[in-house]
Amino acid sequence: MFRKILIANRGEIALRVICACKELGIPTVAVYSEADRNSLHVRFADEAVCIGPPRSSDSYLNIPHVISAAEITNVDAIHPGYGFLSENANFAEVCEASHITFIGPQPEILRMMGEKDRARREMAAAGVPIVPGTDGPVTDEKAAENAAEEIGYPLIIKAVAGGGGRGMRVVRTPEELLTAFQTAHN
Amino acid sequence: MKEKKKPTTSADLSVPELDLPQLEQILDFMAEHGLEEFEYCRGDLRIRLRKASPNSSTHFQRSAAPEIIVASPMPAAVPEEGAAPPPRAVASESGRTEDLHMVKSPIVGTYFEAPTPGAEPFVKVGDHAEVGQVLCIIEAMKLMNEIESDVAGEIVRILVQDGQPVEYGEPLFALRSIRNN
Repeated sequence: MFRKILIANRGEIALRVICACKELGIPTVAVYSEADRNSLHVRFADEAVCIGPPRSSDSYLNIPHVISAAEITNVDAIHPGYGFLSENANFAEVCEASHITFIGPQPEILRMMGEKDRARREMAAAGVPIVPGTDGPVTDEKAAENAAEEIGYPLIIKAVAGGGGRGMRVVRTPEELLTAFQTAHN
Repeated sequence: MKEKKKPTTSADLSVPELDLPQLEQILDFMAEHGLEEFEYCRGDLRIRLRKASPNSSTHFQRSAAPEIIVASPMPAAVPEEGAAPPPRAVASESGRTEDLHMVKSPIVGTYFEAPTPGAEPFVKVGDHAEVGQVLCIIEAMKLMNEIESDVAGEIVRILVQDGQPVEYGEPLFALRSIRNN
């Protein structure tokens, strides 16, 4: 079992992981931006390191700062929580290179599942039942119309490289299809 | 009716986050141990409480609670009836403290005072530093980052030790800007 874990997240997510670590008797390290200095997850953890200014991109998403924090506190694993860097294959690789266990899937799996069309292909090939959908991305409006007719309504259009709720549009009728396709396309 | 002599303190708060009950706890602590001065630094929070000299406090008995002044160069809120040197000395002390510029760590890592182990430190207390001058190294992910001074001035205090882990925003050096004296 791990000696010490750094939780690369905040709020409820970090709190839950920290509590789980407490149950397992594993010391924890919290990271926080300057805006979250007095946050509960910071107080619950055994140690805490400030990793940047308020903006997430400069702190929680700042891979060098997170890895540095892990190094100076001498942890052997990082739990990324949800969102933030949890599906970032690059981050998982940097952890590996830094000899820190990334608590999550292998970088290659993260990459595969991050690209939606590839994820569907791989799962279909593995015999996992998946919802009806197109084989690969739909590149133009005509193809979208054809595919929609085949699949039936309601359906959802997802951007291949979206995520976090971005680039998804629910379409209930054929009239809504074109607008939804154009929005998701961008 | 004899009025009780209460110690008067002047305080300057960098971050108005600390509440009054906590401050009063610190003041009780000071009184208990007969402390004249108390300073506390953690990250962005800096508190300095200084007891005025007993001679002048005879004029200050009205306040049940200590006078608390929020981050001003001249703590003129301390009653001027005394107008004795101690309050002004406190003022100029705080004035000087206010002029100190903190060089803070822009990254997370390990602080090193010299370019290589065993070499001469980049700077020492009393040195004058120019803008852009390398003050130290912070090692992060095996990379040695040179940390440069963002002001010109005299190095008044070095707040970290060689080999110490530092976090983002950790104060490293206190410089007195050459413009203020």
